[in-house]
Amino acid sequence: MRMDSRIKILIVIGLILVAMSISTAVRIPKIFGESHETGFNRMGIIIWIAKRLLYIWLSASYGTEGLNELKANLSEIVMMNPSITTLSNLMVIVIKLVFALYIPAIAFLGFYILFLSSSPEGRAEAKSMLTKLIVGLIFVSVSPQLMNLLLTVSEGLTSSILAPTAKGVFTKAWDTSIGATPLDLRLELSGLKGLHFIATFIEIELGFYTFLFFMILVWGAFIFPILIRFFAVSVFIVLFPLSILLYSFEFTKALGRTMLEQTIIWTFLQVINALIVLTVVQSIISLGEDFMKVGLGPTTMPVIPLVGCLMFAVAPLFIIRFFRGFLP
Amino acid sequence: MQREDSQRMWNKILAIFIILILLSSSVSASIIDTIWGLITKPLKGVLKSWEHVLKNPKHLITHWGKHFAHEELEEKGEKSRTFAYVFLLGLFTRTVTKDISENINRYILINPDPLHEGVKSTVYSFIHLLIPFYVLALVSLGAYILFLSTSPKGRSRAKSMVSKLIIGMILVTISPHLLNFFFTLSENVTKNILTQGEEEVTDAVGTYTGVMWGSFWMTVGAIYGVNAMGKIVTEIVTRASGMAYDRYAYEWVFRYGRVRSVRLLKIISESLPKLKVEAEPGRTIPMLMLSITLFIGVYGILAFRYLMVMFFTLLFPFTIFFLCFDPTKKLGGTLLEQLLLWTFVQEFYAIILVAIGTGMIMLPEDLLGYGFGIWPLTISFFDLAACFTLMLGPIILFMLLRKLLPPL
Repeated sequence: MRMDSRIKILIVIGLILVAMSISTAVRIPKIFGESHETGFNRMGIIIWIAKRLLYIWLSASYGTEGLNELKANLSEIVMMNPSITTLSNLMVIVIKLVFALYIPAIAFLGFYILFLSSSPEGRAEAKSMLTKLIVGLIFVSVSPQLMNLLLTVSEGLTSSILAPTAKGVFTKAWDTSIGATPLDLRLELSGLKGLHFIATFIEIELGFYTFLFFMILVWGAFIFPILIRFFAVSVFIVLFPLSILLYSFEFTKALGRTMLEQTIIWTFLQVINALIVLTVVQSIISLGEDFMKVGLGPTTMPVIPLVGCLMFAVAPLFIIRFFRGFLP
Repeated sequence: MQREDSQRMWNKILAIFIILILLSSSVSASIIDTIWGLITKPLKGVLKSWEHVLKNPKHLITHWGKHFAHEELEEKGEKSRTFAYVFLLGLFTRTVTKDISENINRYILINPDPLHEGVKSTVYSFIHLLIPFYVLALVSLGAYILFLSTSPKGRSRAKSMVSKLIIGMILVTISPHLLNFFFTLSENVTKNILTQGEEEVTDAVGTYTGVMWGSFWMTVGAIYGVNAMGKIVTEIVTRASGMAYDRYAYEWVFRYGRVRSVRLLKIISESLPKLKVEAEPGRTIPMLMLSITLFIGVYGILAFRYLMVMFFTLLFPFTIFFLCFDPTKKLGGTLLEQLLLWTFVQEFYAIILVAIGTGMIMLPEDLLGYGFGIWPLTISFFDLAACFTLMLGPIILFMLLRKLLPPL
């Protein structure tokens, strides 16, 4: 892979140098129009082209790097989880904090039973609250193991979904939506890269917008959501003992429920990601590759692969938005 | 370590090359010459005498500014670039409008086929995945009945849960067929709506394609200026014998061009020198954004809907399991609701199309003219609003009907 990119760089530089040497020796036909007074500014044109080629190559390589990384390690990236053993030090600190918080919580309950609950019903309720707190205490002390169990279930589900999936179809969807240019040592001009190539030559500003688009497609749609999930899960793992405490204490139950729900949702987003891969693969297989392919030549837009790639970013948002309130 | 070192060295070499290339404008000639040329070149006409320059500094500045503005546009092949831009944009607009007017019904009606070989096998592999969950659910229920449920009420509830789980098991095994039935139902309803309002649908699609073309012609107008546009249009219209100028001009060129491409080339070669580029393509980014928003708004939503329905189709066995097991009933409810809603986006789309068509037919003629742009390069506000309704309507209906199922 390294070798390939070096060859590319050399070829680009060689092309530019050759073009420059030709420009000083041979007269280039006046395809670029002519200057009104001083004649044709050949050097300017060459610099003009060289700048654009460099810009295309530099910007496109951001997308390509991420894409190659993703294609090589799709399963690993989707299966990526923070390790509990590394986070356990932090968790121990939080557990100690939570244990400290249990003392005021139990004291508060005691006062509640003693002074406030006058009816037998209220007292019984307060006592059940105490039981819940104590059960919570047990869960807090085994919270690293619990979290580990949750992560193991999620990983197991993800791997069993990803294993039979034809990942080749998915990486091909990526390839078709990102496309290729002659700078990739391929004789074609297709996908977003091809669009970027043409747009840059029309005007750098337009090139910038298309560049943004495929930057978003690769980095924004895949790597970012997955990394955000990774960090969010790390945070929720560390806060897991606190969520259990809040959930088991009657007065802070709502907050604890939200936190626990978020922990579960963010952990299982992995499964959703694997399912999205599967969905895109099945859609492409059952629809055929030419369905909803709009445009001619370099303006062709393979809509299903493109939207399929963007699903990675959008579908988790839907899941987080709609799948709330499932805990009792 | 060694690899990093070589990487770093490689980066350095690369950086030097890049700097060399960027500086090569001054490498070709001596730097002083270049700078001197930059200063004197625009002044050739003005620099009669230094007194003259000192007396009219404003004259000097305007001349210089003019020179650079001219350089900017003239030297970089703006004619071929803008032509390529307009041509590609026209190609894109044409293929999109053609595709949408031919295939809109098909795109709206398409649903994932749960009985397709691949989909079915995936669903069945998910059913296999469900077996341990079922075992776990039954064992936990049994434990609950044996050890925990002290009241008869709790026990009877647990027992009803067992029967629900067993019904769920049966439903899970036939889930692809159930879904197929449901999708066929939804498709038929949508088909009915679309055939009922065939005229309206055509009208709504016409509005959409009209706005796409309007955006394209505004781009052309912005780049070449309205006057130059007029010249080309006159050229085309005189050759088309009685063809009125409107959004079909490009269409006409395209069709005509395919039959007699030599003639088309002649038209282009005759009208190209008359083109006067008045703006860089960068100025037309708002119009480009409009075109792309319209494209994404229709295709993106339709494709996204399809993918979401496929997603929930694959999850359907899990949906049934979650629904039939009391502790996860809420989750199952949400999943089912989402499946129903994403499937119904089909109906929403059809309804919105018919509604837009009806609205456009009912609108008074004189209102339709209001819009932005200079005539004939205008986009009517009503057309634009119709397009945005087409994009946002299904989403709004989706959001409105989110609490479709009764609370579980």
